[in-house]
Amino acid sequence: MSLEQRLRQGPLLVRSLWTEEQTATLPDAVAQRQRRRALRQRIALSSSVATVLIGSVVALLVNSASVPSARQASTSAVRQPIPMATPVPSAEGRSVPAPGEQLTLVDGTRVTLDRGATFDVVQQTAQAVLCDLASGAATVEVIPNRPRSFTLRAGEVTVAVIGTVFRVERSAEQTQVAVERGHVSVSWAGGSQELRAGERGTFPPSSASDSVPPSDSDEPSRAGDRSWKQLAKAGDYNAAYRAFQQQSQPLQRVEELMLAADSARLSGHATEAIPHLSRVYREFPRDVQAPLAAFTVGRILADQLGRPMQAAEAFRAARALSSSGPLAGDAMAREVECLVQAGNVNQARDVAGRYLKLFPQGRHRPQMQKLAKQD
Amino acid sequence: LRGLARREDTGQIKRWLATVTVRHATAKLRERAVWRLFDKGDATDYATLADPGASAEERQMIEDVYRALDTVSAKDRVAWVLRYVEGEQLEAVAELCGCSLATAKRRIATAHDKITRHVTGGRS
Repeated sequence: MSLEQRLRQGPLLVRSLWTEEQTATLPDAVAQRQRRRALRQRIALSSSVATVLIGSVVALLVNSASVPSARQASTSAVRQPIPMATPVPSAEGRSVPAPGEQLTLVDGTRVTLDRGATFDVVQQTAQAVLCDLASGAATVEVIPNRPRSFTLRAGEVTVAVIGTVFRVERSAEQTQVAVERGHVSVSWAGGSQELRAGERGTFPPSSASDSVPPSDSDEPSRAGDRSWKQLAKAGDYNAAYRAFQQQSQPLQRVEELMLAADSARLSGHATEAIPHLSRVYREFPRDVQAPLAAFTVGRILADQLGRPMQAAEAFRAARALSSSGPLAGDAMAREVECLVQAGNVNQARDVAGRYLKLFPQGRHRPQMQKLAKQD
Repeated sequence: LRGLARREDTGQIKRWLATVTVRHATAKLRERAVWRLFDKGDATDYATLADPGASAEERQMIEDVYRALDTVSAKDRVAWVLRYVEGEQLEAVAELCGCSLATAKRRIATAHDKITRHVTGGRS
């Protein structure tokens, strides 16, 4: 039989791999398979969600467990007292341990909070740790001989630590500082005072009579200019400025210059503060106050006098005076900001690039990156 | 499988299944042809293709036909198989192949000519 003849009789008898029964049961089989697939998808989705949730919880637990260690700070020497007239730049991050908690840092520094105390770790860099006691009392035991400075703010009062055990108790108006071991430098608007082991004081002094024991600057031989200093230390800057205008004694020490600058600046005569501050960082470049003086000049020029180019130079001086100090990063960022305001974008971009190299984790990183990437 | 959910009776399911099978078979035949270019194709056991109820003569004929089909293009082969193995009408072949009736006829004729020459040794 030829192929033509065979095909005329009907289809070739090729073995079928599919049966009518399979056709009839196909929908059920498919439906079952779809149900299994949907179940697998739900299980996979649930597993993913559970994994994400568990991961989030673990991350939160790890994060919360690592918060104390993230606040690690060690101190050895006071870099500089920080007057409230020129507050430390804002925080890298904030965290609040529970009242009554004892915070033990990795290097052994311990912060014991009294019940009801509110304590924040405001800033943490390789050079400095800045904490803030918003209310209540805390005892801080700092391990000496560490490269990082430890500064605690309590309202208007700032305590810079040299490696010591001290207690700070804050009330509504004043802050009491008691040193158990070592010594600290306490500063407030218009003055500063070092306290040694066994000494205590209430800051800022409510009046001249309540002020801390006279320092060397108030010795009898210089009684003529005591009044304006006392007024400034008491926070009466308007009167201090007026009294300062009446005296003719030349200022020769950093403390006097800073006080005169604060009196001028805080009584609304910012321009007249600049010569005093400029003298501090030009005549006493090695003094711990020098970077702060330059930074303050930059702030006055930029924020109050609208002179960004000169402000940039002052900020550059501030970071040059303390390239590894706590102000260096902020000074660099402010320099960039002023250069941009002055229209010197190329130079600003260069400085921003250096900031990113020097402070890869700095808090101004996003702005610096944005500027550095701009064409 | 979403297409299957819309089919209600067995006839519709069979038609849907046939469409899917034709597409899948065409793709597989093309793939096999490519592999054969590199001499990597699977060896086919033509003797097992015939239905158990087929006579010895028909078994031989099916074997010869399928050897011939291996020389035919995938589209022509599918059209011919649908017509002469599955016994589909020309309209159904065209629908399943996704082509016009004339194209289906032409594909079947092309494949048939090659198969016939192969089976008869070029005598017809």
